[in-house]
Amino acid sequence: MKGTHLGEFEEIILLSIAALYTEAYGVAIKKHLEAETGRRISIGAVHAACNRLLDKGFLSATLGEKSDKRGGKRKKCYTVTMAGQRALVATRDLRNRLWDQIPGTAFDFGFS
Amino acid sequence: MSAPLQEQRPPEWVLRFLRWFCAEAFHEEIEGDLYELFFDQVENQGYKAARRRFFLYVFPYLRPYFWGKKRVSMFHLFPTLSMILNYLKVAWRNTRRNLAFSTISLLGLTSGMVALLFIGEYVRFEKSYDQFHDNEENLYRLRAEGWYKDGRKWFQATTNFPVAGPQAAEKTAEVLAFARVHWFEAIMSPQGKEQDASYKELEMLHADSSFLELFSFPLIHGDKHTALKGPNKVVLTREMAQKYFGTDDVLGEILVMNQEDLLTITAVLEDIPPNSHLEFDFLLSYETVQDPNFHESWGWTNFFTFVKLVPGANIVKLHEAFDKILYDQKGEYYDNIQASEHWRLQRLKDIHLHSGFNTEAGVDAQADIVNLLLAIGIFVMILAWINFINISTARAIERGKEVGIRKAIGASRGQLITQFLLEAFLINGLAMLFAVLLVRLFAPAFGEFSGHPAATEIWKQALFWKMTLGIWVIGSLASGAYPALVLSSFKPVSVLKGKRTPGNIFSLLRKGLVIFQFAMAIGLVIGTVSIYQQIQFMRSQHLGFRMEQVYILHGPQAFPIDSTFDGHVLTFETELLRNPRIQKFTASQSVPGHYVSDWGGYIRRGDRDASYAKTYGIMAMDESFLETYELSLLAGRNFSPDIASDNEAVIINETSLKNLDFDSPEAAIDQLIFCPLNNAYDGTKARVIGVVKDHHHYSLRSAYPSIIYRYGAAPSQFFSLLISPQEMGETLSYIRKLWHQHFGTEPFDAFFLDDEFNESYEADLQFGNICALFAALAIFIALLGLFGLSTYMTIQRTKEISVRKILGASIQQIVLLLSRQYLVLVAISGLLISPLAYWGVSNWLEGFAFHMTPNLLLFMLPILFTVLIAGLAVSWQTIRTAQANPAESLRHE
Repeated sequence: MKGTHLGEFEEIILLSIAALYTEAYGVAIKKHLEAETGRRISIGAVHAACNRLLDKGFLSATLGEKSDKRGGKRKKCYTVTMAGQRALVATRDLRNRLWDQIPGTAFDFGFS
Repeated sequence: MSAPLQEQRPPEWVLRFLRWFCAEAFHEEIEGDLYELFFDQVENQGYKAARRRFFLYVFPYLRPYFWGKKRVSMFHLFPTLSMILNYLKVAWRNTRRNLAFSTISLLGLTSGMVALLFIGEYVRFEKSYDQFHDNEENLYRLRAEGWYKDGRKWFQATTNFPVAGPQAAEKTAEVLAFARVHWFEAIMSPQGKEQDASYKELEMLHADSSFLELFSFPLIHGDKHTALKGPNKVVLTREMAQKYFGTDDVLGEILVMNQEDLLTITAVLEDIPPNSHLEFDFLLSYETVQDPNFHESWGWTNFFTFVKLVPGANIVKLHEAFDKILYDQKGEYYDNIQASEHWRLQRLKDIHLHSGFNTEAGVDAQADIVNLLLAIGIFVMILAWINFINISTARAIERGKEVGIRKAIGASRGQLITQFLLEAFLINGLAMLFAVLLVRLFAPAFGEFSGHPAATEIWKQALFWKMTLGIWVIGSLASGAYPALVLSSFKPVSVLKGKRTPGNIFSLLRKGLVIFQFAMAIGLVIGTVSIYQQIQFMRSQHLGFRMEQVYILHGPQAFPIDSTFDGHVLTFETELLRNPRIQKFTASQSVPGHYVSDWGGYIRRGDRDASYAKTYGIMAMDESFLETYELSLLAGRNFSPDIASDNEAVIINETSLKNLDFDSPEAAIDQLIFCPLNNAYDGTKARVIGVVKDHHHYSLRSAYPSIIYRYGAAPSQFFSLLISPQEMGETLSYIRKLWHQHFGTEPFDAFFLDDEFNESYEADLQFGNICALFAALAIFIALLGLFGLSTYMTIQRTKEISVRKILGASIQQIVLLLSRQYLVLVAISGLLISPLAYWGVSNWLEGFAFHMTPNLLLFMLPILFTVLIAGLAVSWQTIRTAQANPAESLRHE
């Protein structure tokens, strides 16, 4: 399973972690994604994806402060690693290449 | 109500569950995030909703990824679909192959479940009394009791003085409101139809105007705040509205009470729920009663008084406050008679089951009996589970091979336990399915049998389905766990090698369980027989008065009781006695089986001071009462119409004689006692002119009551007639005709005394019947189990028996050999349970002042009977096996 391939969900998780930068932990990621996509996203799915990405080496994690709001538990904040960045770039490049190959008339849906 | 912020927490069990299945490494992160989301939810949806929905968050984590190292074992706990299908298939094949044993298990389980479900419904109903009122937790009954300084009981009442309610509300802050009710009877009819539609109503209450506000009896028409305000207002139930007017909408209609008072209907109530201890048809506004004695008496305890307290009121403090109110008012009197009175609060919902006083307003039950029935129901269910355990473990030999092979192929012990538990769930589930169908089928019969109207639609109760689920799950685990543990413990090598797992390994436990089953069953039989014997005893006992051929008429209610009344009765009597088939006539205030009031008076000897005062039942009778009821005088003489001073004379019974402390009947004659004559305590003394032998005025349940008879026909509640058995129909219609000639539209209401006394055993008989039903069920289930067990064991020993036969054993010897051990077990159970049963039976008999003495036969016969039928059940298979041709079973080896 390991490799540079990113699934769609993994990709948007990585992107939002990068966007949130220092404040990227479970709940924040979930809320960010929900706001951006307009879909309901389960916290379990976020956790599963983050930890998989961590296993693959695309993310690194640090433990933050304890707080009462979290039942005395610490935050686990993620940051995108170099490998993660490479994977994101590779995915974007692939997309761009594919876009570039589309001939100009392919999306011409006007009435002829 | 939401908890303060710092105490708000997600439900702990969900978190614990999460920690259990989730790998350690994820705990910190997941829990922290879930906490955060939880508080978001609290803000959006409130604390309760957030807690309720919290477990939804945990579902997404139920994926192998989060299980971590536990992954493998988790996988085995949740078998795959194909595995489950295989288990089901094997379970089905096993059930079919051993149809007889499966049927035995099923039959036992189903009958146990049906019994438990019905009992559960009965108990639910009994415990639901009076809980439909909105303010139930703050509603109390205020009752009165009195104690002498030396600790003797003075009186104990469920009722209270009429001033108790107003005084309590006025002088304490915790009593918010009160409502008094007073029971009475009257003749009712719609205005203008007195001739056609007059009924005697027994369930009528005078009630304070706050009654409908305090309680939540639902109204169909009218306003609960005003309905009982002002005089001559009446509220009636839907049933009564239909009875008198044929419609519900009767607001403003007029009812005539006792042919003189006009009452306006101000509200119509929904029919009173069956689980209300107060059952009534009519409520009359309190102000309708004009008699001032009625409102301000500090001495006449005849009012059921209900109060509403502030939430969380301190009952002990209130009791002290009440004691002070009473002492301030009557302290001098108390000191004088060396006693004190107290008002005590009693929770409304406790009245039905936990009251235990003699004079209750409605149907009274005993918590002990209800709990006993529940216990019996649970025990019967346990008997059925034991059958399942015994048969499953006995068949371990067959299943052993399957277990060996499964293990050899790689099944873990956990998987095997899952498999056998699943089987237990299946069999229990199937039994439950049958049980629910049977409950549905027999619900109407049960409703009739138990006298509980709600039982006919038992499946509409949420509790019923909770119980169904509960019995299924608990039963499957309880009956499946032990066999699963045993079966899964087999060593594959030894079972597959053909080394037999001898049935003996478990036989000690199995024997213990069989003993337990039969001990229960025999105990129930002993209990049932005792109940029937006691009823038999009560019926065979002569109650000390003539009961046969005594026909009793309820005296006129609305008829004016004035100076002419005695004359009316006399002419009625003279005309009745003209009929030669009517041999005797007597008018009296009470008759055997009916309450003799103490009229709130305290009686003592003329030469003793007030501290000797006690209450005695007082009733009026005419001079033919003793003769009609064949009560014999021990000393002195009967009343006589020719002696004018007899109006101030009394006749006392033996118990009164003892209570008044006279040495002998002769010594009492011509002595004076303080006694309320003419229903009023005015301090006059009455002369004792006769002492009459005791009779069981109520029933054998209670001791002989002390009764003092005074002379006079009025006020006569009852006319007792001794009629000859020939052509009774004609005699009865003659009596009825005469009645209407003399008393006009007064309803004719009559009964035979012996019928009434037989009916009074009804409740005991019903309890006996219920016990008999359960005893039969318990015996049936225990026998089923024994039958299954012995059949199985006998089949296992077929070859041994064939060899024995060939070597010359007789059929009798073989049958004895095979049956002996079971019969010994049953006998042991009987001996073990006997002391316990003796204790229980003696305890129960103590509730009867007069009862039979339990003897040895009472215990020996049930044991012998059970051993006998157990012998029959066992011998069915053993005799068959013993008679079989030995060649048959040995040939195919």
